[in-house]
Amino acid sequence: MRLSTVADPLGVFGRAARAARHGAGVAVDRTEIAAIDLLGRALASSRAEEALDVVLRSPLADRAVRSVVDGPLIDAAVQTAVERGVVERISAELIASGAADHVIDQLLASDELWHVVDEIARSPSVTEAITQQSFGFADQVAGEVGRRSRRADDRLERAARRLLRRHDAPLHPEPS
Amino acid sequence: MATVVPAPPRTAVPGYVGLVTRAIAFGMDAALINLVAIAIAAIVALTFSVLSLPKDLHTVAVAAGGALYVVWTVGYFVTFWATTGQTPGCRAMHIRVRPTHGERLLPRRALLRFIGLILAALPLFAGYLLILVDDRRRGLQDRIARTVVVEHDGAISAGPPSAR
Repeated sequence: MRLSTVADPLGVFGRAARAARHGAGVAVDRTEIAAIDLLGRALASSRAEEALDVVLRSPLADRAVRSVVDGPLIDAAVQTAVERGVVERISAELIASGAADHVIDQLLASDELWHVVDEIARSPSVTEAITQQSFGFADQVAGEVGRRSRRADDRLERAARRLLRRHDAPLHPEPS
Repeated sequence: MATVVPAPPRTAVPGYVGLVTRAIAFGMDAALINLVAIAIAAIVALTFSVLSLPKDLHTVAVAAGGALYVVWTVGYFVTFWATTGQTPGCRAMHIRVRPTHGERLLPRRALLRFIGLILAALPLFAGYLLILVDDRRRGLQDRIARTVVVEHDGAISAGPPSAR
């Protein structure tokens, strides 16, 4: 025979405990609902904006931002976003929605972009690179023309010597 | 055990330049000379077109223009040959005119070479054909002025020896 049967044959204590637990649960639920309702009202009130301004101007906000930036939170968020393919998903959605095209159209229509392009095109490093490339190309063409013309020199000379039945003298003796 | 004698390093020997390469260089020079002359003639002609000049003066201007063209052409070749030994066309083809003995061509001999250039063209360009058979690839102008045309530093190779 169990001890609880002997001490409380009618189960009064058990029922009382269950009733107490149920009452406490109901009270907690109502308190939560009331708290959320209170928070909603507080956020909707005109004072909430002022309160937010006060908080944001306080050194606490500055410290909070610094600790978030210096801490591992951002790194972890970025790493998670990369691992889960969030960047790819966002890019795909942007392209599919046509938002990217819209942004590019706006960018191409803006004068600022062409101003930036002009500035880059006029920059010394770009002009120097273009000049070097042009000189390189000209050198390449001149080199190829030179090689072919020297081969043609030799062929023409051999043909002339054959025609005149002259001995095949060395073509390039060292200049004295 | 036999001692292995290392082969001497192969050094680039500057060679004499043949007819085709020289003709291309000359063509470049001719193009440059005429381009400048045409540009100047166009400017002068446009200037004269807005001025009402007597016919005699016009004739004198044409004669002066012709004389200037000759001076410009002679000056072009003589100056380049006597200073660097390279006209712009020669520079593009990596070749150089130099006296048979010595390094720098005197202006007098450069002028003589120009006269030789014209003389070589008179007998149906036969004076240039000497380049094909001369051992030092000299044309009539080179024989007259005692010059040779050689590869310049950094000269372009025609390819493997078999191709030469």
